Amino acid sequence: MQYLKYRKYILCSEIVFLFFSIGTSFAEDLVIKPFFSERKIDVFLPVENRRCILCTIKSLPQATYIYKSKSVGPFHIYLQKEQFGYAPFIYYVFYTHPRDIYYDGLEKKKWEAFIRQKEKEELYKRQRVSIRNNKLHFTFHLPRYFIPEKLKLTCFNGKKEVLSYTISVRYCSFLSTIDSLRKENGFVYGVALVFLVILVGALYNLILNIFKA
Amino acid sequence: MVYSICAHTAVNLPLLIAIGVIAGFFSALLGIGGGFIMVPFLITAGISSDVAGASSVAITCGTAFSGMLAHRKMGNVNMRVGLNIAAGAITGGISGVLLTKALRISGNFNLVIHLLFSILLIFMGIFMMKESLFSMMRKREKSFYPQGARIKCLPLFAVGFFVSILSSIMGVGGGFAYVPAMIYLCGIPTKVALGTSLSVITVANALITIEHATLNKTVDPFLVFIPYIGSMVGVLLGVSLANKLSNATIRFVFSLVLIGIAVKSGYAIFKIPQIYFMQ
Repeated sequence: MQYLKYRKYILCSEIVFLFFSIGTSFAEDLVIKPFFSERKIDVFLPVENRRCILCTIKSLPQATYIYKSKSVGPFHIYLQKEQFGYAPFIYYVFYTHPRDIYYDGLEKKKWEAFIRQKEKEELYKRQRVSIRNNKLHFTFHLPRYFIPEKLKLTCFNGKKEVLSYTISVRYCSFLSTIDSLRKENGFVYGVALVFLVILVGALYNLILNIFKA
Repeated sequence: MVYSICAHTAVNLPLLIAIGVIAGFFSALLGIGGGFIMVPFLITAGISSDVAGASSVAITCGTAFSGMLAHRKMGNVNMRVGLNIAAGAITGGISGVLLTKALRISGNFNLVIHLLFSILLIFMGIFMMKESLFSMMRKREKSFYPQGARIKCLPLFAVGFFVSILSSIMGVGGGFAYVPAMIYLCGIPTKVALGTSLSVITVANALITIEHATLNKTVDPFLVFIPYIGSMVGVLLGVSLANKLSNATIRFVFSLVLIGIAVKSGYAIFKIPQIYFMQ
């Protein structure tokens, strides 16, 4: 009898608990994992390994010592996001050597200011690079959400592209689905977005009315 | 950090929420649309103008719908007037999206939006400053309460058309023009004008959002939902504080903020960039 008296409340609390548990598991899968966890990707690139004989600055990481040759100038590897359109972070693998003066026609000061700004914004991160079996090895630490399907690594020597290498990785399927829908079927994406926005607005209004009542 | 898949840049998550809260707070406090506040702040946060504008349109659609529901309950929506403006707004919205696309292709979108925002914000700031100073000095404002509703189809259509072009380019709601137009052209009461304006904004901005998503692909889901949720909190704060604070003082301070944003936006047009290429 006592149970029957309070069954309404028990049922309500069970429903709330059920929704809460489903909600937290969804939140973990959709929000916490994609946004806050990291995925490591090991990349091996076949590159010509020559050390800059002039460089004697010991404090710099090994990667900065690598030059293709002294005469052709600095050797960079960075991710070009324009080429795959999705990856947000440009991972700056090879630092421009402090002695280098030009990068794509920019003066040294401007280039360094650019790097500083990007480091401040955490768009660039220095990577430890090592050489194994005549291959360049480095590790990406990308948040899961940010990992594009294909990363194209392009090595530049000034403006000239000297090496291009593409790696395939998996990334968060939920967000990639949204992004591919946005790119491929903008109309459906737009309608869905408007529907959601209006739904949220209606819910907000409903909640306000409940609180007012 | 949240990555904007449309603007190709990473934005600080708390900053996005804060922008939403500020926009919601002031829109509730001052009775203006959040777009005017949201878009300049998003641009300042590093989002490109086209993405900021398109995403703001989607947010305005949701907030307007929520407001419209409340007004409809009180019978403050005039469907006849609303339909007249909506007809113009839909046509204007499509034209505005096409204009946005053309400006983006020509590479002049940022210049146009900076220019438009500078001019409009300066005007809004000066108007608000004058009005708030008058209020603070306890001078009576001129009031205009026309008698009897008279619907003028063509002027309403024209207002809907031109304001909607601005909405689709700049991401603003359009209430700043719809409400006075309804009061002065149709002579309908202010509250009904507000409710009707919100219904027009809902319809027009829903269409503009879909158009932007289809043609320009500049509606970012994160830039829509994160500030949107923030703006809901801001609206609650704004509503609860509206009765406690002196509105004239807040409007005066806000007018200074608007003028400041306008000056910054205008300065960006002439300033030589320190870094010539952006990611």
